[in-house]
Amino acid sequence: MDVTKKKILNGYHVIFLIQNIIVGMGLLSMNNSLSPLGYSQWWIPLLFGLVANLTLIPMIWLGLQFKDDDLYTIHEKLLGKWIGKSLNFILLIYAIVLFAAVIEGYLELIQISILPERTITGHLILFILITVFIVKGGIKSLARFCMLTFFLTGWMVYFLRWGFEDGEIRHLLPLFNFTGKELWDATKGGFNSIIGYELLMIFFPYIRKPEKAFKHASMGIWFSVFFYFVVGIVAVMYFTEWQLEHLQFPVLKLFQAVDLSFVERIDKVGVTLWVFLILTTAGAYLWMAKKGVDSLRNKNSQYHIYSVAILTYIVINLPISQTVRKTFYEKTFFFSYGFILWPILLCLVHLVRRRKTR
Amino acid sequence: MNVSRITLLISIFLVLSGCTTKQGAQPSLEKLGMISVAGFDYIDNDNMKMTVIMPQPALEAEKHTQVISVETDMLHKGIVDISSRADKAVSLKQLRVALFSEEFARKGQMKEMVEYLFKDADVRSNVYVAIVKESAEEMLRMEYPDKQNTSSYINNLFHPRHYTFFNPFTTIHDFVHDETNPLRDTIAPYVELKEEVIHIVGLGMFSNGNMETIFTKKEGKIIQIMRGREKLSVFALTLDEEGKEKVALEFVKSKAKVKSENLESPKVTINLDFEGTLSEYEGDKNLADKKDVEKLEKEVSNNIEQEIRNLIEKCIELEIEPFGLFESLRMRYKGDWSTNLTKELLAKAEFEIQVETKLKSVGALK
Repeated sequence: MDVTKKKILNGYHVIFLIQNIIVGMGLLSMNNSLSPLGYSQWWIPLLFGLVANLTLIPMIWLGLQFKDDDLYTIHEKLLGKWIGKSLNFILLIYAIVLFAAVIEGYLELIQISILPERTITGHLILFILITVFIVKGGIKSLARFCMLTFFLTGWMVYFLRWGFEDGEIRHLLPLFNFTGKELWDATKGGFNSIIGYELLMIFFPYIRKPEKAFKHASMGIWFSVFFYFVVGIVAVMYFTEWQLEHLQFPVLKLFQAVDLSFVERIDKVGVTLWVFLILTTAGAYLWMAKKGVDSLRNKNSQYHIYSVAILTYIVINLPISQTVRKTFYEKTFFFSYGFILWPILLCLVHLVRRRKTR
Repeated sequence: MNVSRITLLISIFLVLSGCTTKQGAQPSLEKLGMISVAGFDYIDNDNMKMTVIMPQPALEAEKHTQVISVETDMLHKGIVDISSRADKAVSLKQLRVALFSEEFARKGQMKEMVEYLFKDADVRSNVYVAIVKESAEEMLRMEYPDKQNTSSYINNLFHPRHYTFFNPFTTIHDFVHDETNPLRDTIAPYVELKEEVIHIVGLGMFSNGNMETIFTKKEGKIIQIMRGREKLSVFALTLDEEGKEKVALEFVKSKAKVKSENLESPKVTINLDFEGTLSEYEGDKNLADKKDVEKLEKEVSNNIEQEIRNLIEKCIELEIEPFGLFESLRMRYKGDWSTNLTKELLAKAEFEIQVETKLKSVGALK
C-alpha cells in the first residue's frame, strides 16, 4: 500500500475520514451530554456543525500555506525546533490519551451491555491489534476502512423509525427554552461529540487536491451533523427531559424500541456494529500518535505504531481509580477545544513572520 | 515469521479462548433459564415476593414452564435466590411481561421497581407492565388448561391487538416516560383472574408514583383516543337513557386535536374526527334514510362528547391528568414545567369539545 508515497487521499477519502473520525462514542451519549438544554437540544448539532465549519477555515488556510507539511512540521517551522518539539510531544500525549479514552469508553459499554460477566483484557488486546492492523496500511488504509464503516453502519439510522413513531413531535418546541449558562454547560459537555475533524491538520499533506479540501472536509462534517441531528430529533421526541438527563446512552434505548418479528435485542446488534465506528476513531488517533513519534524521532518507522499501541495498553491497565481516569479523559477532551482554536494562533504567527521576512 | 502471522496467531488464541468451559464462565444457551414473565407482590415496605416464569425447552419436562417464588428486598438479590433454586443460570434478558399486584402499585413500589428494570441493561425497555387485582403469584402459578403454556399465554395477552385498543399496553419505557413527564400521569393495564382466565378489566391510574384509582375499559378508550391513537376498533354506545337505542361502530380513522391556550385562564379545545362503519344497530331509525343516518351521526357525536366531558370532570375531581392536555401550552412556555402547574391548569381550565362522526357505510343490509 502507499505507505511511503504522499498525496494519496482523494476527495471521497477526505469526506469519509472526517465523517467517521467524528462519529464515535460521542453520538451514543450526545443527547445525555446536551440534556441541560432539555427538549431544545435537537437543533444544537447544527450549531456545532457551524462552529466546526468555521474553525475549519484557519486549519485549511494553514494547510494551504504549508502544502507538504503536517501540523508537527508546521510547529517546528513556525515556532522553532524546541518549542515545536515540545508542542509535538503534548500533541502525542493528547493522541495517545484520546486513543485510550475511545477504546476504554467502548469496552466499558460492551461490559455494561453485552458481556457483564467478563473482564475486558482479552477484548482490549484484540481491539488494539485490529487498530494496529488498520493503521499499518497508512492513512489511505484508514480512509478505505472509513468508507466501509460508513456503509456498514449508516443504515442503522432506519432503526430510529420506531422511536419516531412512538415519539411526541410537539416536544420540539419551544426552540430556545434555556439560559446562557445551560447552553454553556451543554456545549462544554457535548461539543466533544463533534471533535475529530482537527486531525485534518495531520493528514492534510496527503490530500491530492488541497484546494478542494475545505469543500470535502465540510461535507464530512455535515454528514456527521446530519446523523447527530436526526438522532437528536428522534431522542427529543421519544424521551422526556428526565430520561435524557439520566440515560447514559439514549441511542441504545432507541434501538430497544425497535420491534421486529424476526429479531429481538437490536440494541445488542447496534452496540456490536458500533465497533466499526470506534475502530475508525481510535485508528485515526493511533495514526496521529504514530506521526507524532515519527516527528519527535525524525524518523519514519512502522515500529512506532507498535510502541504506541503497547504504551496505550499499559496506560489503560495502570492501577488508577476510575474516577481519576474519567476526569483525566474529560480534561483531555477540553484540551481538544483548545486544539481546534490553536490554528488561529498559528495563522497569526505565520502572518507576522511573513511580514517580517518581507 | 512476519508480524502479520504473529498477529493472526494471537488473534486465533484469543478467539478460541471464548470456547473454554471454565467453571462459572458464560453458560451455554441450554443452561440459561430465561425469565419471560416476572410478578411482584407486596409484603411490607422493605420486602416483596418475586415470582418468575421460565419456559422449559426440554421435551421430557412434564410442564412447559417452571415457576419459582422468593421473598426479597432487592431485584437482583431475588434473581440470585431464584438461581439457587433453579437448575439453570437465571437471566432477565428475555423478560417480556412484568406484573405487579395492586397493593404493590398503590404503595408506590411499582414505580421504583420499573425504574430498576429500566436502568438494567439486560432488560429491554419494551417489556410490558400490568397491574394484577390480587396476587401476581397466583396468576403466574395458575394452570390454564386450554392454553399452550402460561408463559406464552401471558406474553400474547399483553401484546397489542386490534380489539383491545382501550388497553394502553404500557411498556417499561412508557411507564418511566409518563412518570417523569410533568404533563401527564401514568396509566397501565389492570387485569383480574376470573374463572381461570385473565381478563383485562380496565386501567390503573397513577399520580406521583402511586396508583390512585381504576378506570373502566370505556374510559380507557377515551383516554387512548385523546392521547392520539389513530387505529381504533369497535366502540359501543347506548344513545338513550332507557338503553333501547344501541350502536356499535367500527372505526376506520380517528383524529384528535387538543389545543390549549392562555396560561392565566386556560382554555382547552378538543376536536375529534371519527370515520367508521356501523357494525351493529338497535333502535327505531331507518338506516336507508340519509336524514336518519345524519341524525344518528349527530347523536353518536353528542354521546361521545358527553362521555369525554364526564371523564374530564372525574379527572379534575381526582386531580389526575392522563391525557396531556397542556402540551401545546408548554410549547410556548419558557422555563421548567412542573406537575403542580399541570394540576393547577387542569383545575381552572375551560373546555370546548367538538366531535364529528362520519358513517362511511351502514352495513350491507337495507
